[in-house]
Parts: sequence; C-alpha cells; structure tokens
Amino acid sequence: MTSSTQSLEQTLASEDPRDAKTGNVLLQAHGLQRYYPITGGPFKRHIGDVQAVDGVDLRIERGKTLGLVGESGCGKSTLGRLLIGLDQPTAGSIYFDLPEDAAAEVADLEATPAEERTDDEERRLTELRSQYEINSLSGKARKQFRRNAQFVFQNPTASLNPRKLIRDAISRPLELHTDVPQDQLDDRIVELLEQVGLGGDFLYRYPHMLSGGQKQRVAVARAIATNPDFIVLDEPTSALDVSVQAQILNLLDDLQDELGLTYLCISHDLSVIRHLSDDIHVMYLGRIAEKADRTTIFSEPKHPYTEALLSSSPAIETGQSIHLEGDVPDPEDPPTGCRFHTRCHKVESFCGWNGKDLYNLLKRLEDRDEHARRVFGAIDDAEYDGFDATFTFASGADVDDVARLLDGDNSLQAHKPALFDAITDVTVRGNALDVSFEPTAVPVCESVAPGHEVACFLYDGE
Amino acid sequence: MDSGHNAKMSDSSSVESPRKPLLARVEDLNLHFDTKYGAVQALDGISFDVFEQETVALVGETGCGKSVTARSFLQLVETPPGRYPAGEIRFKSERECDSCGGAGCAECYDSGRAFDDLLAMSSGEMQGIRGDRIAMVFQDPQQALNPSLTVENQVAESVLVNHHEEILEEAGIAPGKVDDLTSRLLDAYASPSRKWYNRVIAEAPLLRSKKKRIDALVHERVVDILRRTQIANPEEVSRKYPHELSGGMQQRVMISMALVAEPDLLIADEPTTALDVTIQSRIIELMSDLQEEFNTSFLYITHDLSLVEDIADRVIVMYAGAIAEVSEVEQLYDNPLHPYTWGLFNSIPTADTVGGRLQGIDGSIPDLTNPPEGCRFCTRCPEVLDHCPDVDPGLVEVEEGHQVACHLYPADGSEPSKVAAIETDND
Repeated sequence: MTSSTQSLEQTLASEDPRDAKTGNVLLQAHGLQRYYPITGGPFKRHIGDVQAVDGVDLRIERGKTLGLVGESGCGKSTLGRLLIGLDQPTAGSIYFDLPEDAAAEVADLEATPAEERTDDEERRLTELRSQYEINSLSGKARKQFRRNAQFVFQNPTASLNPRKLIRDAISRPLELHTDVPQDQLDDRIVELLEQVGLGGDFLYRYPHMLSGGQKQRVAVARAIATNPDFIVLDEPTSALDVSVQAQILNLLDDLQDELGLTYLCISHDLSVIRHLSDDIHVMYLGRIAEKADRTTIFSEPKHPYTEALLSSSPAIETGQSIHLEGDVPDPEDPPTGCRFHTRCHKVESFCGWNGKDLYNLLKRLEDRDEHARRVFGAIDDAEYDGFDATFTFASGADVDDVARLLDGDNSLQAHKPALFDAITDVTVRGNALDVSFEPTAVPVCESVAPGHEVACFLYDGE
Repeated sequence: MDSGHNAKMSDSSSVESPRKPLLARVEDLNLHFDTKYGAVQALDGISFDVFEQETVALVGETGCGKSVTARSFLQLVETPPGRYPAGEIRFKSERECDSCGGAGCAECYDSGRAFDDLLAMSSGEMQGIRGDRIAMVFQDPQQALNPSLTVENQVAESVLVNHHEEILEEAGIAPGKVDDLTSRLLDAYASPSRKWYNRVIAEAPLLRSKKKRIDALVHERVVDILRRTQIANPEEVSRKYPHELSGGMQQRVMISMALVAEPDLLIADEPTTALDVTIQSRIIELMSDLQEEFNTSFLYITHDLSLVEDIADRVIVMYAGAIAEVSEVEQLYDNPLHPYTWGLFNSIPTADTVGGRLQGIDGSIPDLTNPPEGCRFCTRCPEVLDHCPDVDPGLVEVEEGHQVACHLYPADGSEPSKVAAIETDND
C-alpha cells in the first residue's frame, strides 16, 4: 500500500504543471466584450445585442482572490465564463499565466489602439497571443489551460449528474486531464474527498444522498482534481445555509493556502466577497464601476453604486441608507454615458442624459405630477438619436407650453434637476419638439489612489 | 381592545408582552411526516405567541421546520404524509368568546374574542381565513405567480374574493336580490370562481353595461392596491404578464395580492431570498411601511440573521423542529444565549473575520426520524453537557421576554460555572 501511495505521489509531483510555471500574473484581460446577438423577423436578421460584458480590463495575480460583485444581470457570471474559456468573447483578449515582463509588454501593446500599432508591434502581439491568449492557444496548450482553469458552479444539485456516483463525477476529470493510472484512481479520489472534508465512504453514493454542503464539497473536489491554478467560484455559497456557508468558505480558504490556488469569486453577497477576496471589482451592467482592494472598497467607496450596494446590505454597517431608484436598465439598450446615471443618487448634468431618460421620467411621474401627466399624455411618438431626441405631440397639444416646461423652474424639474440641466437646446417644429442633451463620453476606470480605480465622472481629473 | 389586563394572564407557557394584545398562540405543535423509513418528526412541541401589530421572525437553517410551522397556520401542509399528533394553533376570531361573552376570561386571553384552533377547522372555514385573516407571501415570486395570467387577472381574483359584495353594491346590484335573474347572473360573473360561461353570459346586451361597470371597479381596485406597494405605473404593470416584470416587481405584486383583504397576519416565507440586496432593502422597507399602514402582524421566516435586526420585534430561533431561543430582537443581538444562536452569529462573515476562519457550526442537522431524546442540538453543540442527549431542556425564561431551551441555563436559577466563561468568550 505504501509503495503504491508513494508512486502515486511521484506521478502527481512530476505532472504538477505549477513546477514549470514562473508567471506572477495568472490572468490578464483587455477590453473584454461579450455581446449576445438578438435576431428577429422571418430571416433571423440581427436586430440588436445584449451587451452582457462591455469593455472589461482586469488582472489577477497568482495566489490572490479577486472578488466580483454586482446585482443579478450585471454580467458577472458571463465574465467568469469568458475568463475560463467556456464562452468566447466578441472582442478583447485574455492572457493566462504570463511572466511579469510579458505581462507588462502585453499591457503596453493592448493599450495602443489596433490602427496605431506598427507592423512590428502587431507581429509581437500576435506572437504573445499565440503563446498566452487562451482563445488563440493551439490544441495541446489549450488542453493544458483547460486543466489549469476550473469552475465551481452556483447550484451543486444542478452541476452533479444525478445518475452518476460521486466516484464517477470526480474520476472523469482525472481520466481526461491527468495520467493517474486506472488502478490508483480510487486512491486519488479518496485523497481528494479527504481534502474537502469528506471521506472514502462517499465514493459510492449518489448526489441525492448528500446534503447541499456535501454536494458543494464534491464540486470543489472535482474542481481541484486536475491540480488547477485558477478556479472560478460562481456564487459558491448562495444556495447554502449560513452555517454551511461558513464551512465551505473555510474549506476554500484552506485549499487556497494548501494548493496555492487563485480564485475569481463571483457573488452578490458582499459579506462573502469581503471574507474571501483580496481585491474587489464592482460591476454594473456589463462594465466595471470600481476596482480596489478589500479594505478600501469597504472603508472608502468612491463610486455611488458601490456606496448604494454597501448601504443596502444588511450585514454591513455603513451608517447611511441609499435607495436605488427603479430597476436595472435593459442591457439590450443600456443608458448612454455612465450606465448607472439613471439610478444614481449623486447624478450630475454631465453623466450622460438623453431623451429616453426624459421619456422614462415623465412615464414614471405620470400619476404623481400634473405637468408630467400633461406632457406624457400628449406625446404621440418619440425618436432618439444619441443625445438628440424628437418628441411628436398629438395635434392640438400646446408644444410651446411643453417647451417652456422643459426650460423653466417647476415641480417637474424638481424631480430630477440634473436631467433638465443637461438639456442644451429645445426647438419647436410644428407639432414636434427637438430636445438636445449634453453629449457625454463613456466613463473609464481612472486611478484615484494607488490601486483604486473608479469609473465615475465625479472623480474625473482628481 | 384593552391591553392593560394582559399582565393577569394565567397561562404561562409563552412570553407575555404587556404592550400588545394576543393574535395567535401556537401551543405544543407537533408535526410528523410518515415515510417508509419511519416518521420524520419535523416539529416537536413548538409553542409561541404572535401579538397584534408586531413582527415575529422565525430563524433557522434549512430543514429546521420554520416553513412548515408557518404553513400550518393555513393548513397548507399536506396530510398525509403530514400528521399532527398534538398541538393547536389558536387564532383570534371575530366572534365573541363563548365562555365569557366578550367580558374577557382566561379562555380568550382577556380579549373577549373566541380563539379558534386553525388546525381543527374544516376546509370551508379555512377558506374564510385564507387571504381574509391570514395571507402569505412566498419565497419565489416567479413560481408563485401564474405565468399565463396578467397581473390584473391574478390580483383581481383576490379582489373578487374579498370585495365581492362591495363591488356589486357599487355597481348598483343589490347582492341580496337572488330572485332577480340579472342580479344573479352578474353576481356569478363577479364571483371569484366564475366559469367561462358566466363571462359569455355577461356579454349579453342587457347585462353588458353593468358588466363593464364591474370590470371598471375591479380594475380601479387592482390599480389602487398595486399603487400602495409603490409600483410606478400600476396601470401598465397591471396589463403585463409576470415574466415581463423584474423579481422585485413580482414580489411587490405578490405583496399587494396578500394585502388586498387587509389581513390580520401576513406570513412572509423568505420573501427576499431570491432578490438582490438592493431590491431586498426596498422590499423590506416597503413591508414595514405597509405594516404601519395596515396594522398587520408579520410572521417573517428567514435564515438570514443579519436581516432580522432591521425588521423584527421578536425573534424565534428554531433548530431541527424545536425552539432554541425566543427573544426580543435587541436582547438577541446583545446577549444571545443558546449555543446554536452563537453558531449562527459566528457563521456570518463580518469585518472582524476577514482573512481568518469562520467559526460556524460543525456537522449537520440530525436525522429527524430518530432525533436525540433530549436537546436536539447536542450532536453539534460546542458546550454539550453529560445529560444533554437524554433530558429535554424545555424553554426557560432567563430574563424578561427572553427564553432559551438549553441546559446551560437551568430552570431553578442555579448557574453552572461554565456559562459565564462562554459569554465573555462569545463577546
């Protein structure tokens, strides 16, 4: 028995992929974008895109945990799937396991827009991509990447095949990705089960015979079976009770220390994120709103969305109470400028207002404000073109009167002064009204302090 | 309603609050589920009170029996396989008390009203309680709403159940006039159990104008109740199907359906678990606003102790089908007594635990077909004593309004030396 265990250890040691690796930056992503096309009509014409992930840059260092937090539908799970190669980005690149100098070079080259790169730079980038970019890797290297990057899903009941034994669930990745000989497979599986706090008596059980926490442990055992460097944890504890959640969080902590794992932890639960992560990225509607380390995010949040998120979490004491208005906007047609401006409590005129926001405001106030009711009731048609909008009114409506409403001080304006401040021009054309808004670019992540980046116009130029 | 006499209450099995009159009393509730492996003892002697206009939170892990306790209020537990070997849920009725005729006696807890056992009611009597006196909001609004009906159609059903007579009266049809054929047909149309032919008949030329009036009145009420749950554009929302609404909006629709009849007790079974934190905080605020507006009592079921602080007046901590601790919310946060409650608090990741280990609770819930004879928590308890597995501790009042079922706090008041040490450790 001892000899077999020894040879097993040797096999494992010789094939441990980490031995050969020196990279400090485990994962680096540039301009990641994932649009899901929407088709319609008899010929399945492309009529729009759901902008699930739109322009995300991130960097995860070896042995660290990156926390990704945001409301449901903000694209955090899509981002996790992209980073592990379960889904292809529509634009952008993901580099895995880069040496420090290559990482800096890639960052430099990727920062230059494609049309401004010289031929030399282009060639060098292609070379680097074929070496490190996960979607450009060749067959063997890609298989190596697959082994090095694993995923733990949210719902353990759904991610374990109910007709397969626990042994089969864990042996599959071992057979596919490692050279553990058949006769030592069971030993290795028991070893893995023991590592996650279960034991050999779980080998021949079916998933339904396990509790939620035990199932999630099996899912973790399956993920570490191939000796990965990187594991994406997609809401690893949201289906579990608090007491079981605590056990799983401890297990993940221990495994990270023991195996030197790097995690990307996706969760909507801020207290879980705070517990596990070194760095935290806050996501809103496909974009990253704020990046900082754990203490900074919780002690000095800068982005208004982060503030709102913190204040609404009952487990976190912030001393303020911010309520977000309305629902998360449709990612098919996200707001212009800063995507958060429609719900922001610190919103200013330069945040990217457009005609659609005006229309939605009137609609929302229809039964609360008499001006809104009058204007909204008379609108026949509305057309939007970027920051310009044209409202057509039912014949007989007093368009001049409406134009005056948008211009002067009144109860309507008091509801959202920033929106009305953003109006640069109102022109009356017969029954139609042209309204122009202040054009605004998209906020990008700017550094406000070392290691702290915020994508918000309020911190521009600081 | 005089609450001043509550101090005289002779029954002492539960907490007595001097402030508010009693609404419901659960007494020694036992619930077993018969399975082929034996009876699962899901509830074992649960006793607690719900007072008027207060929020009681039932807290515990999955499988601790909090949902079946709440469902028992409305006879929503299927029997069989469920079975109640003992226990009563006494709920204040609108009748005068039989034994004292409204003067107030021990039988009716000095309220002068009869307390009926909800478990003993016939299905017809129960139907009068559901929605009207006790309403329920479920965990997953997506599943609780009918995907093939518009919001208006679903809310209208509650409106018709609860405001049937008023609507007929306002439409100019005397509900009592059963001999009049028109009235009878319209009465059938405005009934919640209307059939397709009632709808067809109501389109007849003679009835159509009245039918339209009824429709308009129902619509008005639907929109009104939706507006009270702070739904913007209730007119538009009422025309939508559930899948067109966000999770928070769906839960608002559920809440408005529950509030149509202004029930005395609203049971909310993890109403925000399926929602985002930002939406959750708004729903919770909405519910406490509505509680003030409607004077409703809340029975709030949750597994999240961090949420309880914001909403509840009193907390009942349940473990494996038994009550571990009953307490005012501040007392529970300042001085949790039961080792299980400590475990729950220690499981929550906080700023202090960052980077370190969470204490949590080791092990998992015992098999309820064969639970420990004594304290059910003894298999996982960090402070287990020799007699814990054999002797049932029973609820003991440790300070006013704070009861605990644990041998660390003996009923005779003698304090084992261990307790003090643990308490400081816990802080």
